[in-house]
Amino acid sequence: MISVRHDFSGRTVNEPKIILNHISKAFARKAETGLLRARRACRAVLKDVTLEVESGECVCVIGKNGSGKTTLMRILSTLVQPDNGQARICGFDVVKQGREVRRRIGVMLNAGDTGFQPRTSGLTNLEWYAALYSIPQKEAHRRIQRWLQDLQLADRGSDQIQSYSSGMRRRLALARALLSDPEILLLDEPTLGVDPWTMEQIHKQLRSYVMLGKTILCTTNSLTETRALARRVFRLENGVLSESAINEELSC
Amino acid sequence: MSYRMTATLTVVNAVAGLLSYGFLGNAAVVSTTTQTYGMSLAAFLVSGVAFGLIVNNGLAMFYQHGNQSQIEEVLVTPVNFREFLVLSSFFEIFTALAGSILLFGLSIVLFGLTYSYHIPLLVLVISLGILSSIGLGFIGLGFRLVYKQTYVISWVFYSLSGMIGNMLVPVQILPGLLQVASFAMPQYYFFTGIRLALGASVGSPVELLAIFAIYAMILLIIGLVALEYGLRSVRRSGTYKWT
Repeated sequence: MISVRHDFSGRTVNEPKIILNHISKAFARKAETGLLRARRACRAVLKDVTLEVESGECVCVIGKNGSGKTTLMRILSTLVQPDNGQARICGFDVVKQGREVRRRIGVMLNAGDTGFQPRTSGLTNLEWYAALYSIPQKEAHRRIQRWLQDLQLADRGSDQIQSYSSGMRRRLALARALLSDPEILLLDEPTLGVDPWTMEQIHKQLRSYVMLGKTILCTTNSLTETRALARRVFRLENGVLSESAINEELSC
Repeated sequence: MSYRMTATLTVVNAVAGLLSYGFLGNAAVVSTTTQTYGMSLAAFLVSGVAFGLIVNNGLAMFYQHGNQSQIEEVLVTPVNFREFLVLSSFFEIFTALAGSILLFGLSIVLFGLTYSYHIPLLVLVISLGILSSIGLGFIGLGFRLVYKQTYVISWVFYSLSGMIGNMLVPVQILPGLLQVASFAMPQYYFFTGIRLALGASVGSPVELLAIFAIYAMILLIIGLVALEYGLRSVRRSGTYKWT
């Protein structure tokens, strides 16, 4: 049982860093298009999902393509509103207190290699995003250099993004997610398209990040990744979240 | 298309338009514009083309900064999206303003056109023009987020503005029904204000300015509501992108 109390600003403290409480989400879709009308149908993507992630924990959600992993991350990132249930990050409601939530998260979206200006350098792109987090210029430069170094992009930092491989773009997207030094890192398939050597490097960085007391929720369809990163693993199948059998293996 | 090529083509198009209307205007002998605004038809046309840069891109003003490849990454940061759009567009607003002044200056040099200059009025009208453009920009982006295209709304504004926006065709020579329709276009107030500021026979601009100011504020409010609605809509549907 988790004790819940409120601080002076109404924020709930002493609760898990990430809480998903009976979250459901369905998307409308155009199922068939007739000559004069379109028949609309609904597709349930998440069904009554409940999950708690404690501070300093790395939790992986594993599932096939289309199982609802990305929707789960987009709800926590405040991009998508759930139909039912409540999601909280660091005590803040993702729907009602979106801006407070966004101050505390670093997000790597599934298509995280987009959002960069292709004709400007990796360095300039990161500086631009640092400005969105109001990070002072000098501090931003220090952090950017650090993450480019740690993610093995230092020698390509001044090159235009359009010359980057997909793996390099993923690493740059991870650097962007880490820029604000967030309490919570939400990673949607972070090593998609990344070579095994770089993947190992990324995992090493993420493990060190957790050692600093930060919290990571990561979706993946790679068992290798879950074994490398997670302390607890959940399986998402057809929108239903359940504890994965891998947990027994990890606890040994 | 590269940025340099796009910029080059934009400049070429703008200058070509300016020259076309200048020549056309010089060829005209009798003009309604002389009686109404105290300026020749040529002066009327080139001022329309030159200052059109400020208001005619209003709807699409924020497409570049609220574009589909970037919008999600920006929306997961704590930045206020409306502030982000406006601040990011400062450069484009400045470029449009500088472009207008350059084209206007060029038209004076090339055609020897003469204007009267009521600078405070000109500044006020341009400021209101920029404000209404921001409102239109929010409306355009909100519409685009919900409907994933802006063909209809763009058509209404851009296809009609040349004709009934008092940009190129003096409203006074239009049929009565189109004259009434022109009062619904923000461009009408902008271009009429510009002609009052640059023409020799200035009528009282107070009424026009008051209406334009109210119109610009209404556009801004509608724009804020439309953008908020658009963002709420995509948060429900999850579809930020429009390909």
